[in-house]
Formats: sequence, structure tokens, C-alpha cells
Amino acid sequence: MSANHVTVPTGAALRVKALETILEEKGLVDSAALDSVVDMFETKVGPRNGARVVAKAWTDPKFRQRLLENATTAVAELGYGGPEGGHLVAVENTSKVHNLVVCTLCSCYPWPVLGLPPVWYKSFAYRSRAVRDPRGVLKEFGVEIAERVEVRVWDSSAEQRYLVIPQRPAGTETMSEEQLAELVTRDSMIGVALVKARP
Amino acid sequence: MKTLKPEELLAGTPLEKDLTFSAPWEARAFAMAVRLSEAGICTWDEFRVHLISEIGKADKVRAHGWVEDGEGYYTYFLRALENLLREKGIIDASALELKMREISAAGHDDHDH
Repeated sequence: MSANHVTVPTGAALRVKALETILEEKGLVDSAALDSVVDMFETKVGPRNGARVVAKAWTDPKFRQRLLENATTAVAELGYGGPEGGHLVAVENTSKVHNLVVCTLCSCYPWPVLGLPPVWYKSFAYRSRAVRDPRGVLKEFGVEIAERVEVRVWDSSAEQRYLVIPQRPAGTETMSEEQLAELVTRDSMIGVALVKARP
Repeated sequence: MKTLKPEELLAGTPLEKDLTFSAPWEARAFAMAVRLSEAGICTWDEFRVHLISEIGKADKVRAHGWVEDGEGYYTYFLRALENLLREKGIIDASALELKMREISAAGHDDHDH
């Protein structure tokens, strides 16, 4: 778009522009602050934060303990916090339990460690089926959970947001915390994927 | 065995492009809701009540087998934001319509500016 071409907003873009203008005229928001919120979510917070948390939990048993006891304060040690970060709960996958996170009513998600949720997380299909048929949903993500493993589904709310600590894959014993963080995917921290020893 | 991507299987889900926002207006609407709650004009919970209500209405429509074309999460998000601001007495429908017309008209007047 050239600098001297003015695009007239239409539809939703026009509604949003009008809302923003009204709120700005009333002194309730300012556009620089909105820019910084957008910038934060587009460039600063995202699943790499969560991956660092998981890798640290895998390599530092004391941190893992603190994370399981109070995830909000544990992730704050790594500098992660901010909007929608309160009441973070870490749930750990083991050989006996697999955890899956959903928000059945809307889109609650642990922003400071995972950023904003992917489109499918907000979809009717996922929200309506994750609780009813978690194993079926997991299968569609390519994850088969053995019958002997319990699948626990966590329904997020305004009060509680969940971070799954996936199982550390075998064959990664010699890897550094940084290398391990590279293996951890967003989906594995929602519980719809397992972590593989090679990214 | 080919593993299908979840978006190919979870019917009704738009294709995942892994963008945080798929249009600038989505980002602005999101940022407004965040700023309003950070500034204490509303709480995130108050906003969430409206969001749940709008998503719930859309879910009912989907459960009956038809989906509004082009409507997605941020359509509901924007409606929720408007509902919240109306509830708080910060905007009303006519002020919003008027402002939209102003912006539209100004944009057309300034076209060669």
C-alpha cells in the first residue's frame, strides 16, 4: 500500500475503527497502547516461553516441584506473567496420565506461556468434543493413548489456565536445556501432541 | 500411515494459518479488550461473560447444521466487546453508526489526499 493511498475501512474493520475512535475520544484507550498490546502478542509472547518452562522443569527437579505447586510464581521466575496469566496450573504427563486442555465455553488459554490460542482451539468441533471424546480427538491429532493410560481433560476458565508438561522423550538424556526447549511444541503443551526426540 | 492434520478433521474449523490475527481489525479489537480490562474500565471476566454468550449463540446455530458465512471467533469477540461497552453505557448503537458514517465519508473525501 502506498503512503498516499487511503483505504476506506468497511465491514468489521469499519466497526472496529469507529469503536476505537469513540474510545479514544473518551480517553479510555490510546492507539499507542493498543499498538503495544498487538506487538506484544505478535512478537513477544508465544509458545517458546512455555517451551523454556517445560525444558527447565525437565532438567531442574526443584523448579519442576515449584511449577507443579504454583505455576504462576514459577513461570514468573523466568519473567513470564501479565494479562491472563494469573492462576496458571501446570499438569504433568506421566506413564499413567495424559492431560488435555480445552476451554469449552470460549477461549481461555495461558497467554504468558503460550501466546494466543490456535484457531482449532477456539473451534466448535474441538470445544464440543474434547471433553466428550478425548481419545477420539487425540487420535485425529495423530496421538494414540494406550488404554491403560488415564486421559484427564482440563476445562479452562477465568480462574484456571492450564499448561501441560509433556513427557520428556527417551534418548534426550545428554541434551541441554536449550536443546530440549527446541523439541517442545505448542501442541504438546495443550496436550494434543507428544514430544519427539527430534524436532 | 498419513496423519491428517486436525484442521482437516475437525469439521467447521477454518484452515490454520498460524497467524496470531488474520486481519488487522482482529488485533485492534483484541487489544481494545485487553486495554479496557487493564485500565480497570471492565474486568476480563465481565468481558468473558459476553464472549461466552456470543460464542454460545453461534454454537447453537452450528449444532443445528448451518454456519454463518465468514463469521469466526473475532466476529463474536467484536460483538461481545460492543455488548460490554453498551452495558457500561460507554457507547450506544446510534453513536457507533454515526461514527462509522463519519469515518466512511472522511475516507472517501480524502481519497486523493
